[in-house]
Amino acid sequence: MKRPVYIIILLLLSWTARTQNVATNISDAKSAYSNGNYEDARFALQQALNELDRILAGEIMKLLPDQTGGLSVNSEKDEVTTAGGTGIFVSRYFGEEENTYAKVDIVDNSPMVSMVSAFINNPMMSAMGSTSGQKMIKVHGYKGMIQQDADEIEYSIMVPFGDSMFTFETNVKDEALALEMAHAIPLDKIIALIN
Amino acid sequence: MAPLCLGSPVHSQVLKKAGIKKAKSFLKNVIGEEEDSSDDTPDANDDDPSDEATKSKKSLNTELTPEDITNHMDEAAKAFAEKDYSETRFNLQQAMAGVELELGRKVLESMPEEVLGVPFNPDEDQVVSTGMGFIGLTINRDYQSDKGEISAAIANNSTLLMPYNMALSNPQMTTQEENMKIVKVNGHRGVLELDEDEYKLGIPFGQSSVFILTCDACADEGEVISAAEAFDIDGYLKILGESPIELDEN
Repeated sequence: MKRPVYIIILLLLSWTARTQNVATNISDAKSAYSNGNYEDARFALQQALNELDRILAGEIMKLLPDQTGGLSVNSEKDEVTTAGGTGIFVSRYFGEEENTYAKVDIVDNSPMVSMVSAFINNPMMSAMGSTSGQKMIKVHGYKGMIQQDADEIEYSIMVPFGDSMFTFETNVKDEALALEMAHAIPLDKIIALIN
Repeated sequence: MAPLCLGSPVHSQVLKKAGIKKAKSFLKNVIGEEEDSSDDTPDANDDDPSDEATKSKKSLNTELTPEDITNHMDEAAKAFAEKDYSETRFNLQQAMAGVELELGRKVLESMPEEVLGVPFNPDEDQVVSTGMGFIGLTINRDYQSDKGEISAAIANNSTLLMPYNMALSNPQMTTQEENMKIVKVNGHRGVLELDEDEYKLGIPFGQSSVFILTCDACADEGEVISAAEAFDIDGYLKILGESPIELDEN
């Protein structure tokens, strides 16, 4: 019984340390900059960005649901990666790969943004896409693209926002169900947090 | 439309201000008598009021104001206290870009104005910061004349560093490649390559910086080394706050 309590205390201490680190690093950066020590200012800003991205990634993870379309979260596959102000990667897996599964990725500074943005902003591309298993959809009011891989009968839903990308993948056989599952992810709240 | 509007890395338009004086000197070098003579013999179009209006308009829009770094840091601290992480991040990235530009400007100011008798072109001076730590800061100065072109670049916290470190730590690479060898410039080891008629010299310094010199104005390897020796790599090391890496002479 005591073990979960210790874990919660440790997590709280870790979060508190990170928030202190961000504030302390910003303060250190300001002090170094005012003394003309640009390299130290840069280092402290970098540290602040690193810590901030970890906090942001943790907040995104908190927003993700524990289940979608009847599939429960596979928490062993939860992934959070940050790269010092250049990107956040948060991933959550539902179900089992060998049966029915779904996966949500939120990638900040994603290289896929330009491709999907071109698709949703160019009517000609969108029209052409309809003949190759792609079409435009909306998730929580945000325009995106759904793509079907005919061989695997898998659906990928991609929604760009700013320089970030929301991706939802599932091997359910029904497009309407895939979209419903994607809607279970509070994309609007995630966007509000990141942008 | 200015390229800045594309939202890509921050270009240091501001640096042009520092280069105005040098630009005049450069123009004098390049244009010489023509510049003076144009002052003495006014052009018929000089009195054209529309031309004056254009000049006046241009003079108002040649530069953007620099980032207010302190303000961005204050805004970041304020936003973070309010748990507005998105705003915190934006302000931290802007502050980072601003600080990197200041660092780059310092490095540019310490670069020579002439190398092997080739003057620098202030219009080509460039500092680019992504505002994203490890993608880094790049500083570039070009030297141009009838003799050819020399380009000096410094990349800090950049992936450009990796191939040079690999070549230096793996002698097989430099011996395998026909036109590649290791040289030493002012105590720093570097990798010299010859690609058709252009020499390229890369010298890693500190823990995360590299100096890259490309030269088509160089007649031979000796001139490339002489050109590289004109640059104070130890000075850049200090400006960028890098710790020196002592070479193992064995």
